[in-house]
Formats: sequence, structure tokens, C-alpha cells
Amino acid sequence: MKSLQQSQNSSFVGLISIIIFYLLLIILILVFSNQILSDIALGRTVSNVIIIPFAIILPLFLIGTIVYNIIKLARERRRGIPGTRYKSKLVLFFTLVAFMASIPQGILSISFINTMTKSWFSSQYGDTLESGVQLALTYYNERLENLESIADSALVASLLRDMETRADKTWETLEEVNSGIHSIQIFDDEGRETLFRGIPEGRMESLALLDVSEGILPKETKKDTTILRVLIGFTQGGEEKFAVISTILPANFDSTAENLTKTLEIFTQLERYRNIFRYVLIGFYFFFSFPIMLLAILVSFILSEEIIRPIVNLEEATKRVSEGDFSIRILSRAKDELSILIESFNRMVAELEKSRRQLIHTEKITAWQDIAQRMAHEIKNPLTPIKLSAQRILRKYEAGEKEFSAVLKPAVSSIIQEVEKLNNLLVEFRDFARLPDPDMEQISLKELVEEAASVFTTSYPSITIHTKDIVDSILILADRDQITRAFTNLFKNALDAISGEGDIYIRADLVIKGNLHYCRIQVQDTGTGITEENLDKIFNPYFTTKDKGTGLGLSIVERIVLDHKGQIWFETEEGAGTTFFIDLPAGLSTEDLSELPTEKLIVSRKKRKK
Amino acid sequence: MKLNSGEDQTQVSMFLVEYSPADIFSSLEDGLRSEIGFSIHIYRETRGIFRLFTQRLVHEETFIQEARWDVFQQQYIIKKASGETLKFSRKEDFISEFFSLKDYPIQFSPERGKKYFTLGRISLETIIFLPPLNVLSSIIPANIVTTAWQRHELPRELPETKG
Repeated sequence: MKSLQQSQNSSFVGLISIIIFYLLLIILILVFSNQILSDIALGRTVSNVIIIPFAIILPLFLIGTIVYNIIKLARERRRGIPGTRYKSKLVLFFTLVAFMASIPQGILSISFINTMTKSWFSSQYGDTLESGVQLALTYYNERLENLESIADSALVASLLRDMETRADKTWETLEEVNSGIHSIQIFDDEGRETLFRGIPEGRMESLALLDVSEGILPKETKKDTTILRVLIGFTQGGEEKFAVISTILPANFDSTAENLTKTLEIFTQLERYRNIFRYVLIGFYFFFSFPIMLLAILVSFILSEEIIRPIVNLEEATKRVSEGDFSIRILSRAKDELSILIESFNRMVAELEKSRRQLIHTEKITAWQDIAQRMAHEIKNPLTPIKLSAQRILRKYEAGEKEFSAVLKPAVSSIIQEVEKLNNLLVEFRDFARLPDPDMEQISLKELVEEAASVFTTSYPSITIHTKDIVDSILILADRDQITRAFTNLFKNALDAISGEGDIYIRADLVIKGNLHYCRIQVQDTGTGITEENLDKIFNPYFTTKDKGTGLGLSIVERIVLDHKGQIWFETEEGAGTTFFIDLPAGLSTEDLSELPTEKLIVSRKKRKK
Repeated sequence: MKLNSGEDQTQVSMFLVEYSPADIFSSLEDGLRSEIGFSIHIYRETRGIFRLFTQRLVHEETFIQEARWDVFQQQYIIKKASGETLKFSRKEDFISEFFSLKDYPIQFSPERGKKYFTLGRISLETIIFLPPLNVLSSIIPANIVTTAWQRHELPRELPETKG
């Protein structure tokens, strides 16, 4: 019993592969997205090289697989493989559903990205940040300018000259003159501190003075305090001195300014690269969603295959049943509505098979009854003249008639003739019933046909057997005597069809179908053709439309062809003639011939009426 | 690229040439930061037919320094990986310091009788992108300038070459 199940297994494997692939994809997406997000969060350069193959190879692989499946489906559609149209529709629907499901998600994501980036880049924030930095800068510059003005001030210069003699008074005066002065420090020409007044944080290390020149000194930051200083040179009592006047910026000025500049830095970057950044974010969205989309399309191929498989199996099985193969069964593990249908189908086919067996059995009995009747009739026919001749001889002998000797010879001759006929009949029946196994050899088809034809063309000069359409090189593996006999019977049949006058055409070609090599022979007559009512009977034993025929000629031809693992059928048209087609294995050794799969050489009668 | 190899220490000097610093100044003056990295790989060379497969990386080091413009002091600031900060008012001084690595000591002592070679490369990131924009750093092609690996043998003394 044959079953249709194999593709289900392949679909199952495909489905499992897709699930594994899906899980792998999800893991990769999670790992890489996590890696990217981690890089972003930690401020690292995002340059993970593994992501490039992931980004290119994976979608390419999926696209390649989808394209392969599309091409395969298109080819199957062109070849008319059952279920492909339905499968195409299912794939299209699944793909549309996948698109429809992802489009709102995509629109929402893109809209979200646009909104977020726009809100980040709000000009209000930018202006505020720039104003903050500008404010800090203005304040800073004012303090510097204040120090510079102190350095240039004649009043301060005169006060400095009195500094060491009236230190406290001078310091008070200085504080009153300029509230921005927080400390003053006097050094001698060797950098030694000689005086300090003011806030202690403003004090400067004396050594640092050696490498600088008069004017604004580099900013100094101590913890959260930022100090601006100016160095002023002056002469006191003939000695060169240096005064360092300091101003202290508000606490945390530096860190606040740094924070402001850093935030402004981010904002400047965001403003400058806002479009690229938006496209990159959208790109990342597609980077992760596109493979999922492709996977969904791939799944649609597998699922549609899974859905249509039982239907295709049913269609295939129905087709096979309609061709007469009742051994087909559909195996289904599923427990759904389709499985009930499949079960019913299998039951129906089993019933049909049972009925057909009974029918064949009945047909065989009928056929043998028919053969027995025909045999009896054929045997009875010569028995009557034999009996009559024997009775006549006996009657003449008993009467002692003088002409007994004159009657004896024709009567005995008649008996012998009828016995000969009877013998021929029995020999033919025996031959038909038990043809010897073919003794295979390599035979040139053309030579064999021409040899068989020459017997007829000699005896019947009014007929022409055309053999020029037989390819010279064709060799067949056959039993010479049996095949000759088959051709003889076919020629005899054709000769009767054209009433002993006309043309018989023989054609032979080598046919190659895959690994199968065979020779197709056509025997065409221009006779009366076969009537509709006789189409199904012409290969039946003892069926004949001729007065002198035994009705075994075509049955023997069919038998020989079948024994050579060939097939025979015919096409006929009443009033135009009949063509018999014979397929015989060609160009193979005896061993190869015996190994040929009989399924490929379906031994059956195909009768077609033009 | 210049190499000096001593008993206990190898010093390396690298210079980025044939690069127009206009982009860097433009970025710095816009309040952005730049970064330069000097990568040094030292390989031990082997002989014979399998040398392609047996060259072994024995030491690798990358020195990174960052540059920014201080809007308050109107100075270019270079911050080295060690935390040291250098300030420059003149562009020329800044360029000379930022695009070069001078006598950088590598804690590697070559074994006697072995042959070594070094590969050096400079990678300049015009803009250091801050999160979340650091995702753009590899996407904007002009942002990162990377030189080819320059190979030099590791003798005691080598003439200065451009890298």
C-alpha cells in the first residue's frame, strides 16, 4: 500500500528550523542591541564589528532563502504542481498580514523618534544654555577686566608703595576702592612673601611667581574655589617688589561653568547632527525589525506548505484513484477536520479497491467462460466434417459399394485437413497460454522488420510495407522469434485491414526520458479502422472480426510485448486506418533490462480513438 | 614614527602628518572635543616557512589624549590619559603637542637574540560624540581618521620616519 506523507516530514523540519532560527535571531538582536545600548550609555565608540556581518549576512541570507522559495513556487506553478496557486495566495496573505502588523508599529516608532529628537533639540533649551555660558563668560571677563583696571590704576600704585608701612590701613582703603579685591600679597624680587592681607584662599605659592610676568596670572582652582590674580610690579625704597591682587569667584564657579559648557557641547552636537541621528535611530529600528519581517515571510512559506499539504495529498490521491490506483492511502497525524475528510477518503478508496477486486475476479471468470465457449465452438467446427466423413466411409464400407475406394480418399483427406486445423488451433492456444521465456539478444530493429516484411511483400505484391522511417542504428534487446512473430501478426492484421492491397507504414524512434531509453515502434495501416464497439475487445483472446481468424493474433502480440517489458496501444479512426504503438526497451544489456523498474514501464493497453 | 630601544625601556615617537587641522579647530571652537589615539603593537618575528602564522603579538599599548577649547581662558587644553593637562594659547604649539607622541615610554624589554618589529597607527576622532550621539561616531566616515599601520623593525636606534 502506498502512502502520501513525506512532505509533511519536510514541512515539520522546516518549521522547526524556522523556530530555531527565530530564537537565534531574537537572541542576537537582544545581545547586539544590549551591546549598542551599553556603548551608548557608557559613551563608548559604537564600532562593534560583529554587528556588521549580523547586519548584512543575516538579512541577505533571509532574502536569499525567500527569493529561492519564490522562484521554486513560480517554477512549481509553471509545471502545474497541485496546490501551488493556493500556496501562492496563502504566502501573499501571510506577507500582507506581516506588513500590515508592522506598518502601524513602524509609523509609531518613527513618529516617536521624530518627536523625541525634536523635543531634545528645542531651541529654547539651546538659547538658555548659550545664555548661561554667555552670562558666566561675561562675569568672568568683568572680573578679569576689573583686575586689569586695578593693575593700571595710579591710585592702587600709590597705595602699594605704602603697603608695607601701613598695611592694615592700606588694605582697608583698597577694599573700599574696589570691592572685587579679596586678597593682596607682596613678594620681594626673589619671590619671598613679605606681606599678605585678605581671604586666606587667595594666597598664592611664592615659587609659582618666578615663571610669570606682570599682568593677569593663570587662573587657579583649589577644590571648589577659583581665584583670578593680577601681578603688579612696583618699587619701594629702591627695592623691586611684586604685588599679587586676587579676586575669588563664587563657589563652584568652575564646575558650574564646566557643566554648562558640557551641556552646551551635547546640545551643539545634537543640533549639528540631528537629522543624521534621526536617520540612524530609524535605521536601527529597521535593522532589528527587518529580519523579523523577513522571517515572517519565510514562515508564511512553511505554514502555507503545512496548510495545503493535506489538500494536495487529497488531490494527488484522487488523481491516482481516478487513474486506477486504489492502493493509495493518505497518512495524517493531525486530529482536525481535514483528518476526518482524509479518513473518509481512505475508507472510500478501500471500498473501491474491494469492489474492483470483485469485479476483476468476475471478469476473469467471465473471460475464461468465454474462452472455454469459443474453444468448444472452434473444436466443434472441425468435428462435424470429421464425423460426417467418417460416417460416409463407414456407410460405403458396410454397403460394400464399388465406389468405396473413390470416396475413401477425399473423405480421409477431409478428416486429415480438419484434424490439422484442430491441431493448429490447439498449438496456437498452447502457444498463447504458455509462451516460452524470451531469449534476449541484441537485434537490429530495421533488419528484423524488413525480414518479417519481405515474407508478405513476396506473397502479396499489391502491398507496400514502408520501412524507411526506421532509424538504422536502433538496437533492441528481444527474442528474435517472438518479436518476429509479433510483427508478423501485426502485418497480417494490417494486411486484412487493407484487404490485401495498399500501404503499411512502419516507423521507429529512440526515446530518451531521463534514465529511461526505449524504442517506440508504429505500425500504421490505411484500412477500415476499428469500430467503436470493438475497441475494448481487440486484444481479447478469440475475438475476431474475420471469417478465418483464430482471434489469438493480437492477444499473442500483446503477450509478447508484455513479456519484453514493453507496452502496446493503438489509435484508430473508422475508414482511415489504425496505428499500433509498441514501446520496447532499447540499447540495454539483458541484465539492465531485467532491472528496469516495472512501474516506469506501465504495462497497460491504452486505446485512443481519433 | 620613531623608535628608541634601550635595555629596560623602549621609547616611541609618532607624528600625524598630511592632515589639515582646520576641522579640528572648527570643532574645538564650537565647544566640541577631539581625541587622538596612538596605537603601538610589538611583534616577535620568527623565521622559517611558518613565520606568517607564528608572528606573535608580545605587547600592545594605546596612548590617548583629548583636546578642547577653554572659552574662559581662551586656550586650547590637552588632557592626557595620565590626567596631566596642558594649555596652549598659540595654535602652532597646540598642533605640535596634540598630533604627536614624543618619547613615549613603553614598558617592554626585548629579549636578546630575538627579532622584533612594531606596527604603529594613529587614530584621530575629530569630534568626541557624547551619549546618545556616540552611536554616530562610527557612522560619520569623516569623523574618524585612521592611518595605515606603519611597520618598523626594533633595533637599538632608528632614523625618524613619518607615520
